[in-house]
Amino acid sequence: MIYFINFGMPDHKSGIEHAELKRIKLFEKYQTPCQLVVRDWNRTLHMTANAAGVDDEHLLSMFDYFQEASHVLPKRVTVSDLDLGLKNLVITEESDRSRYLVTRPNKKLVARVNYDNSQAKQVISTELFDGYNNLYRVDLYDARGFCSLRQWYTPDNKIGSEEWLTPTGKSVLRTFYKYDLQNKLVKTSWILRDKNHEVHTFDNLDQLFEYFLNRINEKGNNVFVLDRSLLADGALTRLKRPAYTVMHLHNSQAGDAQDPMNSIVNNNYEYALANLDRYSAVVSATKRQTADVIKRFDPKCKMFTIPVGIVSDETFNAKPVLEKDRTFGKVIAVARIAHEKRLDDLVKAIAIVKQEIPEVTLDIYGYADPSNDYGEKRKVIETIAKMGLDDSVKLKGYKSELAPVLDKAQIFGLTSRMEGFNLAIMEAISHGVVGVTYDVNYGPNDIVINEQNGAVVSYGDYRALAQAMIKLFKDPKLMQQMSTGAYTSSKRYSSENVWRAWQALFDDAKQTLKGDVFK
Amino acid sequence: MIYLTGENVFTFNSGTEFSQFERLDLFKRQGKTAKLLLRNYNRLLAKDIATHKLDPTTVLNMYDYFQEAVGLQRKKCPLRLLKSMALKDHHIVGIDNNTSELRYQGNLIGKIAVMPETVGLVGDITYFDRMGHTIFKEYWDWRGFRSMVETYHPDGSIATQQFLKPTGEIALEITHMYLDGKILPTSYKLIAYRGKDYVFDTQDQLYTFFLNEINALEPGVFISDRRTLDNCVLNVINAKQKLAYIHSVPFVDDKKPQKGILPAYRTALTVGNFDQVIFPTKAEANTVLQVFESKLNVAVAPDSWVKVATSPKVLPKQKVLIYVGRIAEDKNITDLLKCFKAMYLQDATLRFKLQGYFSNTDYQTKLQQLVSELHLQDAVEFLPYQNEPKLYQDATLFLNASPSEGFGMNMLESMAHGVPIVTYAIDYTENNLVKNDINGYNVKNKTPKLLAKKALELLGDSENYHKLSKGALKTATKYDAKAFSAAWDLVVSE
Repeated sequence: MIYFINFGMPDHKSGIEHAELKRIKLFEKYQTPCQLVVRDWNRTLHMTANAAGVDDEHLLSMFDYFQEASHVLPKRVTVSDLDLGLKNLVITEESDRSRYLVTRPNKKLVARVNYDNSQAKQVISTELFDGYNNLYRVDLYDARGFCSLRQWYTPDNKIGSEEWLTPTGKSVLRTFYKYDLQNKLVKTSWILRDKNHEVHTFDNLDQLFEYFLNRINEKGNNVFVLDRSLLADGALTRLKRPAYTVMHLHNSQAGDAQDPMNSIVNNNYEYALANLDRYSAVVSATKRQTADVIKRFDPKCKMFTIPVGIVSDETFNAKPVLEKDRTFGKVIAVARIAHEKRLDDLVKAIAIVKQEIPEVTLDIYGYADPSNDYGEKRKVIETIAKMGLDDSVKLKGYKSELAPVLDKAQIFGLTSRMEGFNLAIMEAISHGVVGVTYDVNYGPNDIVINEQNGAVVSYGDYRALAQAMIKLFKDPKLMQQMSTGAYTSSKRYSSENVWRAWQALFDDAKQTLKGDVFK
Repeated sequence: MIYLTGENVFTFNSGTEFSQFERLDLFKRQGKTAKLLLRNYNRLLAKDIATHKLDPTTVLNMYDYFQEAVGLQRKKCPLRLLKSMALKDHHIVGIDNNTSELRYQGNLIGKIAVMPETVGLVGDITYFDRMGHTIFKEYWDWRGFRSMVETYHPDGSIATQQFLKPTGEIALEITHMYLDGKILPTSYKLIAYRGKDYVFDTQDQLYTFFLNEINALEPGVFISDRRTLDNCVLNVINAKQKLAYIHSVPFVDDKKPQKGILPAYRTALTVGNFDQVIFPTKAEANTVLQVFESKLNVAVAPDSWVKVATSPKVLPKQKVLIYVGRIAEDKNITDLLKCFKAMYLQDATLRFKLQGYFSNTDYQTKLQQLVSELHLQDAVEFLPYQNEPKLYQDATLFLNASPSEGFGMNMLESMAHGVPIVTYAIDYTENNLVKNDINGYNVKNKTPKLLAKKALELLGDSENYHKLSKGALKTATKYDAKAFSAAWDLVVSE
């Protein structure tokens, strides 16, 4: 089996989750089994994963594995389905707090039942009280409708232990909180009663996860792709049975991507890079990053460049949109409004362009980063105002379906400080949008190629960025040439090509493991 | 069906439990079906039942019932063959016959205690965190299944107890939280019992529920033997009859019953609560009726019965004095030793044997000190508790100095072996069980010296001794199996 390791698959996804989703789709297309291995417990895991397109066959959660809950038919559980073990209970709804209060006839509180308003009042948790007004336990319900986690409280109202159950009510995994030498209440231990009846104790979640990875690799010959390095960067170097271990870079390996040889190593990858030779392979999304890793770390393991973005066949099959059918002067950016995206530089560039091309507009699509009280968004708005661009530059917010926008735009602008790949600019060129970007590592400067599908200008030079745009707007022939080049160059990210890259990795895996890995 | 209600069958039992065992046996022989319904958790119960030669089908423990372990056959579980042992990762290190350690990469992660009275079978396993805190403990039932698991609050007190079915599912959960500022059991939760959960605030509520479940399956006559369980029995719905059996003296002051009834007995002795209240002696029943002008519906039936020896004793050369029973403060063992000292000074060939379990180690130490102070080490012997004591056969005289006895089962047992009694004169025993010049002597002036004097007198008169031995046997026949059976037959009809 081929496993992709992550902590979960939440609704709010980062580039890593998006990359995994695309990869799972690709594997499905080429009928190659794979599973997303999930470390963390989450009551809505199956709901959010299924919604993202990962069905239960492609999902292997550690907690599910031990709880024997990988395949559970969802069940409706509302307050009336609960058995609180007492008669003549009185149920009062507090809809403003999305909960019910359940009391004995003598008004004593028996339980607070918290429900999910968006899921027809499916029970989320119950807070249980004994006959002496002590909150003794909180039961957390899996969204599929069974009590999955029970948190037992101490007499002074803190969590004292946690217990995970099978859907049939067997207790399989527990954690305990104890006072340490500094008299702080900390989680000191885990105890597992495994499916094979063995009892194991662990000091922490990392140890448990390592045990789990060894369990699923008991027969050996699996491929593990580590998408979140810190979850298992140690564990994968210590597997007891043969396996092909892949360290997948999703961001720059260097803290300052523009200084890959000298800057401090990205903290997330520090341990893995220090132990590179104990991995079977490293995957990065761009050739440039692969080259930089080799240059600095000289790994003994195999290096593979596999794009994390895949352009859909549907996009390739669509009829190319000519420049004359696009909105003249329309520049777009698709990015979170965050510090590392440096969108104020893009606004400054547009101000320069506008002096020569009055029709120019900039639409920015993306969530605003809430940190520093939306400091980056305020900075961008300030810059727009200062430059007098209120009519030309618009913050459009997040939009999931961008194809119609891309089919109208002429230029995609990118001024980031650092990138891992940038799926958005790949999407853009696949729609014939011309890329104009800083020479930023890693992704944009691979995806955009000078004089082929756009322009790569010096990192941080917004004046040069503006000049590149002006040149394109003033030369419709050049613009059309670049747009056609964009369509063509996006073929690098066709599923066929990306799959070929994965196949090279599997070939190496088979050779290394001396056997078939597709089980 | 007759239901006897009790707390437990222990390795060491008191008179109440023995009385219940005798009745169980009797009812069986009388062709009546009877069951002892026990409240307390006891994972060694199956062993204790065997020790006391009880018919396992006549004992039903509440926890066993809810854990669906009734009638489970014993399966030996050697700790080294447990499926839970992760032998690829852990070392099991034998420390001694009672303990093994569980080690992972050199660190102690658990301790395995061997099941008492076995070689290498698992008894319980304690798991530790890396700082040495006990995090989790698993207890095995004598019959070889993981029966209870326990977790602990950060302060070390018990947090939860989960009672498991032999299949591993949780049957019952006890939560320990604050109750009046102390950490005590505050919630008893039955899980999926006949498809439903049930929450109880106290163990007695759970026991009442249990009694009702049993009675609903087969209605019967309930006999309440323990005052702690009276309310539970009274809350049984549709029982055929509810009876209370009074094992001990229920008065605040034995000598002055008019001073009142002990709080524990109030429920049992309140008119209208039980259909009938049974006393071991007529005298006790009468006192309750007369002193309190009670309209209580009373009956009399003995606590137990004895097997009576065929021939009386003749005074032997080597005279052995005995005491059998709990060795406890309320039995006034110090007076017995002082009494013996007085006798020993007159006749150094005398020996004194005491048999029974000590109420506590402090008292044990105190008595042993007293023996050395009195220089009686060579003449006094403490024998460990025995289920069917053998020392009556070679005994000459039974000494008793306890200030109060409900009945005096130990003295009856002695008489059944033809061993006469010399005792302090105490209510309900004097003139009821022990009669002067017939089977022994009641010494009214309760001093060790006078007790010794009376005993020496008897041991100096072989003719009288033989007569009293005969008398003792005769008294005992009143409490033989036939008499016991007849008395209970009158009280309980199935």
